Amino acid sequence: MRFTAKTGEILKVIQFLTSVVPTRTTIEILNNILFELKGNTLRLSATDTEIFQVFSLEVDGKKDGSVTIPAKTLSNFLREINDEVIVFEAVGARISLETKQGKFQLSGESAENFPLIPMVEDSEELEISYELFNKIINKVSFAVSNDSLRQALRGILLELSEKGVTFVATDGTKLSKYFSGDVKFSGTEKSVIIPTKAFSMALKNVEGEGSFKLLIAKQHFVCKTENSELYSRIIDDQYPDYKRVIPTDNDKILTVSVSKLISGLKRISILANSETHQVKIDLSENSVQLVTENPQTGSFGQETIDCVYENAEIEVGFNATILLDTLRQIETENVVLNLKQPTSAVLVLPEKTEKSKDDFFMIAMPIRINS
Amino acid sequence: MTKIKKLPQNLANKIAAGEVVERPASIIKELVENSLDAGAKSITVTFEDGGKRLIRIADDGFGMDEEDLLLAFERHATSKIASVDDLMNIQTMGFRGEALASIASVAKIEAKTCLQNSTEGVFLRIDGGEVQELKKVIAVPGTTLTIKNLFFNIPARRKFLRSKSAETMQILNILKKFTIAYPEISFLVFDESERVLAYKSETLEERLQEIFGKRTFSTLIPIETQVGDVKITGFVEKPESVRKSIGEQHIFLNRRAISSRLLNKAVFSGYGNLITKGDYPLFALFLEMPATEFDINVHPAKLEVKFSEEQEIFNAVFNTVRDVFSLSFAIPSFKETALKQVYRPKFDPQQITLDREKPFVYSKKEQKNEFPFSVKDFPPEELLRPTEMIRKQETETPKQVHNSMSGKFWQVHNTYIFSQIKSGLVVIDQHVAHERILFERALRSFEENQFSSQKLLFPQTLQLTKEDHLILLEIMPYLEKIGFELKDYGNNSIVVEGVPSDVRFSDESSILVEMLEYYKENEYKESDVKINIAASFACHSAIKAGVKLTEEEMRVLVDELFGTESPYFCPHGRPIVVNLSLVELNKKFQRS
Repeated sequence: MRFTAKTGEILKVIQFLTSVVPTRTTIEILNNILFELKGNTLRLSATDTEIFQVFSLEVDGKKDGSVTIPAKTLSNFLREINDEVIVFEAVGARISLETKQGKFQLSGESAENFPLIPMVEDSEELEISYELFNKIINKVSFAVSNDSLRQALRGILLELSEKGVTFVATDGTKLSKYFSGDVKFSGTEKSVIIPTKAFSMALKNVEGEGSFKLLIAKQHFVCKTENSELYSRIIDDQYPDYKRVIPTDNDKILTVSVSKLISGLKRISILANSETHQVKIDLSENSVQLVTENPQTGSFGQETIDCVYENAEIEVGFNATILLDTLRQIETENVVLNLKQPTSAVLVLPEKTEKSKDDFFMIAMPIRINS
Repeated sequence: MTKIKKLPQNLANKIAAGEVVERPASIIKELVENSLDAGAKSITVTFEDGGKRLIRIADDGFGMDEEDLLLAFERHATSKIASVDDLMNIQTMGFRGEALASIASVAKIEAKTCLQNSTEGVFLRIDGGEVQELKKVIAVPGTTLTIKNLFFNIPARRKFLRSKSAETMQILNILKKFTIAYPEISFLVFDESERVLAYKSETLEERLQEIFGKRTFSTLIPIETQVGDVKITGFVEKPESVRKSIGEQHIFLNRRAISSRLLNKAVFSGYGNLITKGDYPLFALFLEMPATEFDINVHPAKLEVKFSEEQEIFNAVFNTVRDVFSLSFAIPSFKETALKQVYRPKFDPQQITLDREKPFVYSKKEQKNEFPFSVKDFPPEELLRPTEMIRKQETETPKQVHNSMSGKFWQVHNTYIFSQIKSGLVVIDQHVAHERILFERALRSFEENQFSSQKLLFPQTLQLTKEDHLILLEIMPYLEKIGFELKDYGNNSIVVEGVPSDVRFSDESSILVEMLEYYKENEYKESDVKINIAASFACHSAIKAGVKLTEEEMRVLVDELFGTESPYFCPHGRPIVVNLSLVELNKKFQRS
């Protein structure tokens, strides 16, 4: 393999791919980036076995071939070279680099052992704008569980139908659901669970595009652009029946300024128990009272915020972190909380406006505080 | 007419037989000893019906001529001692001259024996103590004794024999002692026609591997020491692999298996607190000393021994064992990180002869660990307080240690937290630290009735066995006080609706199952239900080793740890904090 290219261009791609290279792996070759040259097209690939990312680059090709090169060494090296022309040459696993500054050699590994690109068959298309995609993923992915043993909770559920697509994420204490009719899907109705990381990589791939297509196959999720390809495994697990737990008869409605509630909660929670972050929300007529008490440290906090509330008085305990996580997703001025009982699921919604046709809500589970 | 009569010889033998010939195993013991005394290189033992129907011992020893053979069955006839002086200096296994006569009085015996370098031997059949047949036969050198129908003429004793399997166990136990004591002799053992043992080794190491297997052998540490005329050698098991059942404690005095409470105690005491009551380390201890230093003739079965210098022997054994462990295993200090370590007892170093071929080296597996042993195997006894190192400096209380922390924390291997303190640095095990915090919190919540429970969006149903369900219902009030919210749905199922809000669970239902298992396991050990529940909760809810923590999380963890009553031990007694002092560091780097 032999080609000439600009170091800056290669470095950019390598840095992009580095986010796929696993930080800790027992499979040595995954630390490497696969270089494949055919004509003037250089394909660079990285994988952690769950996600397979390819990026193509136009170079001045001299001799076709392939090799894998340690990602870290290469990006560290290229970073130290001014943006200039570099000659890449690989003979076996021996890689020679030549720039104005000098000649350098490093050893790679044969391309033979690099995992193969996943075979994708029978895929169906999903069309979405970058702006919407970015918004939905942000609003949903915060609820994904990082440590659950239930694989399903570590991904985002997509319910695909002709009417649109529903995105759901939950970790068992909070849930976020976003339905958009602006996502076009023309295949057969189905549900798939996609790892969060695949979506965040996909976002990087399509950054700046207007509208783009995602492919949903039986076992894979694929995102292709003009010069990149992203393949991800689909999580093969049963998603919990979230529809069953969405409260439908929460009759106590609170409307309050998001920013006031957030800053109040942040203040109060500093004084709360550092493990449970427990705060109490007392609702009475047009008033929200936030209270926290930590008998162990002797700290205490209380503050009152104006709001719109006309139902019966109620007191609900929360882990402030969970509630704050949901409130941060609200873009309207006010947030609407639908409650029923002190320990039943609470709906967290943006204020209804004329414009929005999307259906977005969250659920925060309270805590029972016994003191 | 006098009432008191001298007993006929035959009857006297039968009575005496009660002592020597208790059961098949004791016959085998006597006969194998005879074979050993006859210089056998290979001994074959066959028994049927637990030895009740048949016992046959065949050896390749010296053999006997006709005259000796007949004499051998007379009481107090022996080739092994001739004078009272000899009795004080017994070198052979048997000496009382009772065995054969006793056995002959209670069973049917056939003996075939042939001198070395001869092909003509003698065959003798004795029935109830009377010679029935004596003839010359063609034979190979050595002696074969066949004992049939034990106690055929004493039904009362026969009745006292135990089941076939119980007698078989006894026989194998006795034989095991011989096979350990005489590794250079081949043993072949047949139960009916099944070959149960076939040992062919030459050295003790090989023999122990044959008997206990390679794996167990690898847990044994050789010991060797000498005090005066007494030489002690053998193997002791590492404390982390000790077993819970008795039976593999072997002591030999001049190669004779003995039972000695004194020496057992010496070995057990040598382990100190590395083992707890109910732990039985395997050991094989060989004492060699002049025959004048002890008296084996306490009981005809020759199991018990009287030492003339009891205390000295006790100390010798105790010190040797103690030094093995105190040198290489016991204290989780950083002093012992040398990967290769040859055991050198402190005790009388001049006399030590080490097996240079096989110095004791930690196995590869252990080398991987930071510590040359696994802390979790240690008992919750006071002994291995790692705090001993802290105590040694005698300056800092936990509070002072905490206050002098630099405020910076480093996590290594996602398992240990390092922080600088005034006198050096501390290493904290994140799992046990959290365990301690949760343990105390759980106990507190039982009393104070203060808890919070994070409600779950997806309640988990737990299907239990009848027994587990009952136990769970019983301890449910306590679990609720910790913060679990549970509902009994009948049909042995429980629904988990909420979990303690300060703990992150990756699987809410399995945590309860694990806690239940822990609770059951410790139900009999830990009489206090609350402590048991708190410990099981703490153990299974605490963050595990391998979980990455942010610096903030580490800070909270350490602060809370030092807020507990006992920041240095987890509820199981495992160390939480280990201190590496500047003094030790300086010494290590030879900085004076």
